[in-house]
Amino acid sequence: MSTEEQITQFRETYSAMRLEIGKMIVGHEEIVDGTLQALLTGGHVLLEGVPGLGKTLLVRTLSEVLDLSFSRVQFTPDLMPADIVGTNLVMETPDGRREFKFQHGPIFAHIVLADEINRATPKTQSAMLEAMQEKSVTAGGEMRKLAPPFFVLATQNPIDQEGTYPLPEAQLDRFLFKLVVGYPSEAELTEVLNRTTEGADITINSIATADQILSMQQLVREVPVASHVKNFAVRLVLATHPGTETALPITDQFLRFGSSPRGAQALVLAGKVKALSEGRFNVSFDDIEAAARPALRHRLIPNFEAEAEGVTTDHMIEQILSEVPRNIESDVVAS
Amino acid sequence: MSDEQLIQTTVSRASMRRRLNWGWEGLWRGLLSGAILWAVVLIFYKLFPISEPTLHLAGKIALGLPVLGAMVGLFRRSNELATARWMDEKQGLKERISTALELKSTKDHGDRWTQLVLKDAASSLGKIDLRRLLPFRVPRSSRWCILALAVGAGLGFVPEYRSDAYLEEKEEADNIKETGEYLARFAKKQLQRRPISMEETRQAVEEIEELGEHLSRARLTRDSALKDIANVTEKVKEQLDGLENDPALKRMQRAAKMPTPSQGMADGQQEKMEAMREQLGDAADQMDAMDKLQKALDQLKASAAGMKAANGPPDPSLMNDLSEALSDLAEQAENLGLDMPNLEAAINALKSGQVGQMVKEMDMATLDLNKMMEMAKALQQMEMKRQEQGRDLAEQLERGQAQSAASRLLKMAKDLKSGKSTPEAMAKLAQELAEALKPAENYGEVAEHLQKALQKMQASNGSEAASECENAAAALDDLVNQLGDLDMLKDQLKGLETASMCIGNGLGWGQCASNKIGWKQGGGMRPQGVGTWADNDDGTWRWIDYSQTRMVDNSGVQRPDMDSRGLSDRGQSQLPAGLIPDKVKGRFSEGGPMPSIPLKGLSIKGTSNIEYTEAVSGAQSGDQASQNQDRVPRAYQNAVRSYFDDWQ
Repeated sequence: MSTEEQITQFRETYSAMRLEIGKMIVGHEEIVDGTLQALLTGGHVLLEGVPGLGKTLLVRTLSEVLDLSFSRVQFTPDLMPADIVGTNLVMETPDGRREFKFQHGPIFAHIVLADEINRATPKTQSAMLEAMQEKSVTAGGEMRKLAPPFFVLATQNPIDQEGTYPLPEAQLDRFLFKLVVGYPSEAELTEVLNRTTEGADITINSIATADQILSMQQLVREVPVASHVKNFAVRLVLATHPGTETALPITDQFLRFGSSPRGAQALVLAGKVKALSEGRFNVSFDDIEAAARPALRHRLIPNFEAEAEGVTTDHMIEQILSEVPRNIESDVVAS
Repeated sequence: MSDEQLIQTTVSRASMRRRLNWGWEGLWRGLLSGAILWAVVLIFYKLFPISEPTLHLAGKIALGLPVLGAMVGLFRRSNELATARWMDEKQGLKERISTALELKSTKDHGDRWTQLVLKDAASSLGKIDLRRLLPFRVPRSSRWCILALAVGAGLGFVPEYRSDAYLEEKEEADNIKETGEYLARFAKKQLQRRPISMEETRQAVEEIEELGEHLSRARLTRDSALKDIANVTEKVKEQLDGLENDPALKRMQRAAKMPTPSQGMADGQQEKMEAMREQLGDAADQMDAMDKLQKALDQLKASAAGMKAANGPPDPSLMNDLSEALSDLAEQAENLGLDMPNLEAAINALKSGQVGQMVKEMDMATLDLNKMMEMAKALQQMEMKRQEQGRDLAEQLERGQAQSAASRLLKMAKDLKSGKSTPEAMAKLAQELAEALKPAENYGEVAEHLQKALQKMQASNGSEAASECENAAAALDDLVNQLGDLDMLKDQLKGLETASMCIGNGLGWGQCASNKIGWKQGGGMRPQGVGTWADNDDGTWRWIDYSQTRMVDNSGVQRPDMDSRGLSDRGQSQLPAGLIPDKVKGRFSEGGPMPSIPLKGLSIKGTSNIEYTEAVSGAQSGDQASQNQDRVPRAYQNAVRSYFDDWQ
């Protein structure tokens, strides 16, 4: 299959997946796109929103659209790492012998829904770290690879914070995107009512297999990015580093820590998916800019002043996007 | 055309067009900036007295700005990649062209992604019309530009506001400048005209030239300019005084004032005089005889004319008388040494009965006689002039005829060198030199040279004597040159005085020095009077003839009687002696009682513990207060004042 055909197929598959998810999820295009982009870049997504906005439904629908194994873990304070990763159990063999056998935890699936991840203790949350970054699990002294594609979708509730454990920065950085699920509009809510209160069952078709997803992920990596576009992504990330030459005034004023290099990777990869999904063969500034909010908002650590004044990371990203120029003279000279 | 070529060509064309567009926009921006600059500077010029060179400079910059703007635009740094990015941004092409251009230059052209990107970019570029993307249209700034130009043009018709003080100051500065230029030019001409023998004089003239240049370049006030001129004038005067006190130069100056011909001319005239004397003979010294001869000739001419008028044959007796008279006349002329062939011709014509021819010949004789008389007169005048010229070296030196004396000395030197002079001639020369020794004492080293020359002559050393004579002549020449320097310094001093007068009177050199006549407006009017009495400039045109008035420098004149403020007391009125009253109420009479004046607040009668001085000052202040309040009768005031003043 030629590259052009692969791209065409990518675009068709992407559109089909959106369409199928759209049968179940009303509105939230940005969330759906973000989730698909994270899936196709091999990243993970942290969904944040008040209860009842369809976070879990989105993940479940996605698992149905994709012909992939799905498991769901409801995070609670008493959840232990072994409950996620799995553990060795003494099992009796048919011949009557007893031996240890590894009982796979729910993490051994293609799509893992970590529901209300912030309700588990940090110890349990950190059990996800290796799986998310290395795509492998070590238990009982043995490392076990997770079957690709591996995709974690975690949700967290911004309210009702009592008895929760905010995710550590290292954990947050593992998520490609943090998607904030907002309230539906009037039309969307009406549509939700129509679909959920009026009888007819919705059937979700499976669109893509694991192999297809993997080949799509491979194709994404091949999309060319011009140097000045890459530089733009780099400048955006550098602008979030407080106390440096590249920092903007708002950064110095309101940020304690800026984005890690994973932020820049997320920008470029997400941009590539967006370009392909729109039928283009190159990444544009707009693609980078579109990925900036979900890719950077959880990587920026605001300081006390920002929290006191109610300045959110989204506000800061907006400011950074408006102040960092797309084209600069040095890019042209260097080229 | 391949995708790659299409992209390359389109981007190149866009790049060129963009550059031209920048140039076009730069031109308009420059025009706008220039127009604004010009308008702003013009507004300032109309309101404030900024200098005209500043205005000219602003005008030049304003003219240069459009060109500069166009050049900056045309030569603005840009490359194809930048143009590609600009096109992406402008057309919303999502970085298709810039990515394609970059991939084309960095990656393998066979790469599948490169091909895809190039194809995509080429298809996007195919839809772009460069003329629409980069149109050459008049930018918006042109409206403001036209407005600024219109403001600038309109301001051209607005008269400048200048305060009277400024105008006066400017006129003063212009006058100083003009005067300085002329002064410098005058000094320069003097320096070029003749070499200056004395270093001090050269320095003085150069200093005047520098002063002139300083006045023309520096911005000076009238006072400072006058001060500078006065400083230099003082130096020149000092130098001039020193030169004028030199006795030799004094004599030479006096001689120079007398209308004595120069030696060269005297030699020429001598020959001329001898030729004239030869022609006139004894008649040269007998003007009276020539007068008589002329009168007699006139009478004979009248008789001959009467004979000619009578149409009949001439009377023989009359002809005889006329012939005899003519013969007598011819004899007289011959005795005087006058050569008058026309008289003989007239006698012959009379004898042959040709009366008309005779009259003609007599006319010619009259003309000849008149010419000879004029020649005799001229000869007499030349004789008189020659008598004024010193006859020998002593007289020439005595009379300050240095040039003649120098020529005489050189002639002596020549004679001495030739060695052909007879002992008598040598003795005569020695005698002349000896006589010249005393008058030469006033000529510095000339006397020494003459003394030496005399000694050498007495020692029969002619060549050395000649050399000394030459030295003396050279010393005299030096003195002549010094006299020239003196004259030059005088001219320069006059120039300085004229400059001082010009600046002092607030006039330019042209008005002040050349006394031009013509119509002048208001300010051109010379101030009449002193200080506040000067006529005001009413702006009217007047016919000014400076030659009719004497230039007066009234800048430093102090006239307290013309002070417009202060005293109005004209003193005591003068009454005839018979009318002066001897007893007037309120006036002191000798021997009369002292009028009592009540003083308020302080009694000086009886015993007092206060100091005398305090009492005096108290009384005086009381007196002053009383007078100020008109409580003392006017007639008593002087007396009371002097009375209390005497207490002091």
